[in-house]
Amino acid sequence: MSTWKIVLGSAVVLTALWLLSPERAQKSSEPGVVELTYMGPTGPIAGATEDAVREFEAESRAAHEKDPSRPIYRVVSGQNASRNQVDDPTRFLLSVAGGTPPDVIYFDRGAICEWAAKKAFVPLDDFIARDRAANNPDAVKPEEYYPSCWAEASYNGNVYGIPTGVDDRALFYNKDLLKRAGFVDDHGEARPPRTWDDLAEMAARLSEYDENGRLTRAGFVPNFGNAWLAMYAWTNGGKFMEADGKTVTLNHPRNVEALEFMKRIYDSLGGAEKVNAFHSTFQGGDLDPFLAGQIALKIDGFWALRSAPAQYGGNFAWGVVPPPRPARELANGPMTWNGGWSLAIPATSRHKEGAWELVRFLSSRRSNQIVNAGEKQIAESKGELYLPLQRANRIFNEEQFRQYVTDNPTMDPQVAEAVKTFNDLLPTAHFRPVSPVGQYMWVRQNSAAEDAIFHKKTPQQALDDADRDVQKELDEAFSPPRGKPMTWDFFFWLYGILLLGAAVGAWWWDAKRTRSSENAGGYFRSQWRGGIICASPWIIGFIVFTGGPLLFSIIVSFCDFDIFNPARFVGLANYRKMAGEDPLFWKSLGNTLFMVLGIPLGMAVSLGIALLLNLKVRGIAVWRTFFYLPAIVPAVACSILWIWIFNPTGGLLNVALASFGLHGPNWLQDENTSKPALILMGLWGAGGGMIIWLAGLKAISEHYYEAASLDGANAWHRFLHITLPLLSPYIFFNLVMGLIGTFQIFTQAFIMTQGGPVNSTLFYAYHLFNNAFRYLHMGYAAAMAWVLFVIVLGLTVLQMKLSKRWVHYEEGNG
Amino acid sequence: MTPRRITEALLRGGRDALLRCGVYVLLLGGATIFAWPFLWMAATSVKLDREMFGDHIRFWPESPVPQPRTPYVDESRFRDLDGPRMKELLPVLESHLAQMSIWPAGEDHDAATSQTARGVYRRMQQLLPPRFWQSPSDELKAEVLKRVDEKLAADVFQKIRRCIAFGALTIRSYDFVEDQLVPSGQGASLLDIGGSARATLVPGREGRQDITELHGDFAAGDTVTLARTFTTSFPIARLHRIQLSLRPDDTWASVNALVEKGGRKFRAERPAFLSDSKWAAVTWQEPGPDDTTNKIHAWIPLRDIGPGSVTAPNEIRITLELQRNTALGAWWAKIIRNYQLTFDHVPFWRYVATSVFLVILNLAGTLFSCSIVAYSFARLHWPGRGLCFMLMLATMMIPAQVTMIPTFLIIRALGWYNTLYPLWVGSLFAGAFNVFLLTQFLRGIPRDLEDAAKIDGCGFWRVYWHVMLPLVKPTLAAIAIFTFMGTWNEFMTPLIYLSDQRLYPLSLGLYALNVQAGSSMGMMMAGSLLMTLPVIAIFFFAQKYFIQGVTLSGTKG
Repeated sequence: MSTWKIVLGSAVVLTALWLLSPERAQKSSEPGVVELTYMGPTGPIAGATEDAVREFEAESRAAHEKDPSRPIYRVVSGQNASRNQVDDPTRFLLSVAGGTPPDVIYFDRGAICEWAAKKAFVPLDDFIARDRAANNPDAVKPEEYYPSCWAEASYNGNVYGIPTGVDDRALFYNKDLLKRAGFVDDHGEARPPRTWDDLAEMAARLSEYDENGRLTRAGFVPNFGNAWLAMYAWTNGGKFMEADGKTVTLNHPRNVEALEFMKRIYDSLGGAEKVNAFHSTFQGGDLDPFLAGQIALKIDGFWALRSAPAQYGGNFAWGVVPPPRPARELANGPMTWNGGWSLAIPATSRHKEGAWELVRFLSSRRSNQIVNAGEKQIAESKGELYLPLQRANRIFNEEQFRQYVTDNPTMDPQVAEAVKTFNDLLPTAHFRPVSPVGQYMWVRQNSAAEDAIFHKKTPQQALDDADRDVQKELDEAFSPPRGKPMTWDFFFWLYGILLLGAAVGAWWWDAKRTRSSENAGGYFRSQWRGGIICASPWIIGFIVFTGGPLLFSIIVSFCDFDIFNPARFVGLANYRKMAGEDPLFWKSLGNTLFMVLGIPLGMAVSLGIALLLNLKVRGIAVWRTFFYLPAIVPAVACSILWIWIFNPTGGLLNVALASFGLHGPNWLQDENTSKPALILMGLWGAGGGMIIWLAGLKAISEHYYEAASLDGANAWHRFLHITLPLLSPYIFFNLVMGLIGTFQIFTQAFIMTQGGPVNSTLFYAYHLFNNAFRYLHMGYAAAMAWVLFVIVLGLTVLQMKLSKRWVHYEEGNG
Repeated sequence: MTPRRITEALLRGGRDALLRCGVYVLLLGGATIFAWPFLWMAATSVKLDREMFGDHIRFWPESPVPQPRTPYVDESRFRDLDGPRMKELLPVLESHLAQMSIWPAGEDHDAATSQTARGVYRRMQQLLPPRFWQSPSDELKAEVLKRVDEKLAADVFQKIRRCIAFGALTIRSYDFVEDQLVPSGQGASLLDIGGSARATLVPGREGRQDITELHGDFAAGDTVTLARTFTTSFPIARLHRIQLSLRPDDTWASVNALVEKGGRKFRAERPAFLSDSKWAAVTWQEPGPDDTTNKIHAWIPLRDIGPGSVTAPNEIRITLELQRNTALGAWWAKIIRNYQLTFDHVPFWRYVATSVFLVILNLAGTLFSCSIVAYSFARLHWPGRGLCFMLMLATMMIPAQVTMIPTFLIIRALGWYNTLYPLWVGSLFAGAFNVFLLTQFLRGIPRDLEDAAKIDGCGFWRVYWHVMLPLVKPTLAAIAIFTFMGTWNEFMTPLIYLSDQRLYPLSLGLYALNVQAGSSMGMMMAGSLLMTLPVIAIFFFAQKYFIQGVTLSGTKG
């Protein structure tokens, strides 16, 4: 290659690199601009909130023109896309751990406290006090908020998030159906249920079945809509935690009673399985089950009012009332619970002042007005009726509903009445307990309810178990950290000495060896420098990115380490946890072993194809392409494609099955079929192995087959006694590579199922990733990684041992 | 040859031919199964949402039909309708419906009643309890007719009648001042109609809202224009966006906006198409700061096309051009629809550029570092070589997870979190497997070749460049292909190290798209297809090296 070619080539490549350089997109072109990163639940800020943000930016620009010391803010959003920031805060945590967190985060209020306890958020009290002292017209005033909303975002006397929206729950009832079944009051109007007994009676009497005993209408389903165990427990006077926040009371007698009530209703409808089968027939939009009369009564949130009955409900009579309570509790007044979102500032944010300005603006009246105006326009351009969302700020909430509902002459009176019911419930609503284990308690109490409803446990048993688990977590959260803090000095010394020893040893060994042949020694020595320089990329890489990390990772596996605090030495605790205390470890190992089934299947498929192609067929290149292409589809694209193929209603598989009159399973949504589904998807890519088989088959000499044919062996015998033994090295290689690959399955599970349903696709590598970056149990993750290493090593050694025994190597090479 | 032997030979030949046929049938079947998901992906990427779920899901997308008239009755919706006793019920329903007074004058009465009858029959399938379907004819008919009133019929008819309808036309300033230029329902009196087709604007009502319907006949010509000069309440220089609420009629006709203001004339960069039949908003705005952000681009940019006649500071002239589509044009519009949506939702080309950027750097890094390290291991002598080679082989067995956490800490300490460095710098440090593969080949090169070069006066750099590299070109090609694939597909590393969406490579960007708009399968498939195409293209061009590479790694390893 001549010099000018090289120069030209590099120039072209460098220009291309400069043109493509992503850093160019990031650079802000204007001086004085400060970028604030806003992290919402999914994707970029859109719709009317975008208008509010635009106004915030414009105001900061105006302020900058008056006083150039003030920055111009630009809000960047859409960072760190995550399916559900609350259920899976991995992406948020990673950016915090990496040192570039968002400046403002829109976060579920129920989870604020948990992160506040870990010091992930800034307390906002000082900002609030300062604004009030300065008489800022937009100052956040805690007394304007519904007490439950404010309390839910507070922890240990500080507030960590400014509540934005709120949504409470109430009972929707179909007046026509109630009337038809004879549930009427003295005026002949439909009589909604007030007590649990009413509810139970209506649930049973309003339900209808077809001739096969399948539900065609349910009177009431406790978990349809949005009630959860929480609703029944609170309306029954139960509670989930003592006031001190240190004792969990999940198995409070009233809670148990509430769960028994839920279970009784399910049983009266024919059992939870039957009800779930009925659920799966539901559709959305104007075929919403409540509108279609498939469900007569439901407890649901305010958003459900907004989406269905308000849009399409003009054609039938419906109403909303407070959720029923047991008769003895009625005297205590109506009761519901609410949740919602809030804006918080991560503790490591680099622009806290700007972040607070944005939070304050988004909590202001002006912002609320902009959002409402924008949302209204969006709704109306789609031909929909506009209802504002409930706001946590009582003043704003009352103002906006006066403007858009009460004073709106065109508003459907049924909707107006429903809105009033919902808003009247807000001041006294309950909220989920503020606790460092709040999320876990929520997940655990609902899985306990599920267990009871499906008769896996009695309500008492289920709640006792849940109570024990959550209490243990809580105690751990309050207990002082274990172990001694580690100092890392000795690690660097150790590593330095090891490296030095290796270098000196190598030099001495080489010197000894080359001394024996004097002449050659000189020849060799002339290459030393060049050799080491040439190998230096690998040597440096090894020292920095492999050797050191290996040693570090061993040490960390004996520590408690969460990145934010210094590591603490805890001995074998992590390994003990794996063996006994972490059921998910075994679950993930089991899931991974299940996937091992896919290896022989995949090998059989690819070997089958290879055998066919080896029959001297015409157009081998074309066939090969067909079978090989699926193997090179990028994992992300492949996962997304198969999410769609596995879609229970519109996906390729079930549509194909339906054309044969079969009813396909729910695939990825069902814990029994999720792993087989992933194996099936793996089989599609099995063509990748075919190439290796083909090479192996080509290497088998024709003579063997001819000789065997002469001896009268048929095709099957020839395959069994010649092909297979001669392919055995390849079989072994594929088997081991397959096993190692199976232990690394991550991307598919992460994208397609997020480890669910019920942890059925939580594979080893995924559980490890979760521990490292979702729970920040880095020490435990390192221990898991080493166990993984031992497994891989074991498999490889086993392969080598076994292969000597029964793998047939032709002329000793493989 | 005796006849018997001929028969035997023929039989044998026949059996062989049969066997060969069987092989091809198997191959064809297998290839079909393997290709089916690809076809499904491509087919879905041009489908509308309504084609993906529902009663009758077809594999291939429906053909878009440009209609000569609007309003018209959609005859495709119940084309596949089938069910018990349909033949018996349809005529009864039709005659029953024909007597109703809900049918709009001047529209196709027969099509309306016959299609509505089918729709009502479908509704009955859902509503009528099973016992009635077994009852005698008269009873069933009576039971059905009892349930069919004008409200139900009108409701069903509403769903199959297609008509272009307009809601409000609004403009908004950068200061959030909003002007309703044409309030919903007043289009007929406020807009001047023109163009070559025959068309009228008719006020109508739908639910709670007044609307304006466009009734047109495209027999005479292809275009309808609606125009008017408006006075605005804010200075037109502050204009931010123009928004039109409309209900398309599924004819795939195009809507273009022509705007004149402040002495200039603007035209929409691309038309909006009247696909589907749900209310939607079309937004037009001039290029501004929004275009460069990673917001969801839910607007069509307006481009300056020259001087215009409207100059007053508070005046704007808006012309909407409706143009009937050809069959081919409709297909094209339908095909690009989901792709356009994908590009509007995420900065797709930015992701592609980042991925290409990373591919180039990784390729250069890997090829250089691996070949030079392999050269050193295979041909040069230095102390510790044997130890290092063994260490290198050993590292091949270490799962990436073991070093994942320390590597994260190192990257963080270097200040490289949320930059692209972690995604390519690693390639400079010679991956063990590639080095091993190259070493195997380099060792096989006879020493004489090297010595000859040295005698000719080559230093070891020149030996490396002019002797060694050319001899391992095929291996390098295989390594290049795997590096390309690895970089293009890499998901976990960007997932861990990037938080800024503007830095995402395509793999993570596609995941971000999935998070944002996962329910829109058309967009998902469009994005996945675009990500897959380059890989397939490379495979076609470099099939030889691909296969060589797989064989090498599978047999030498």
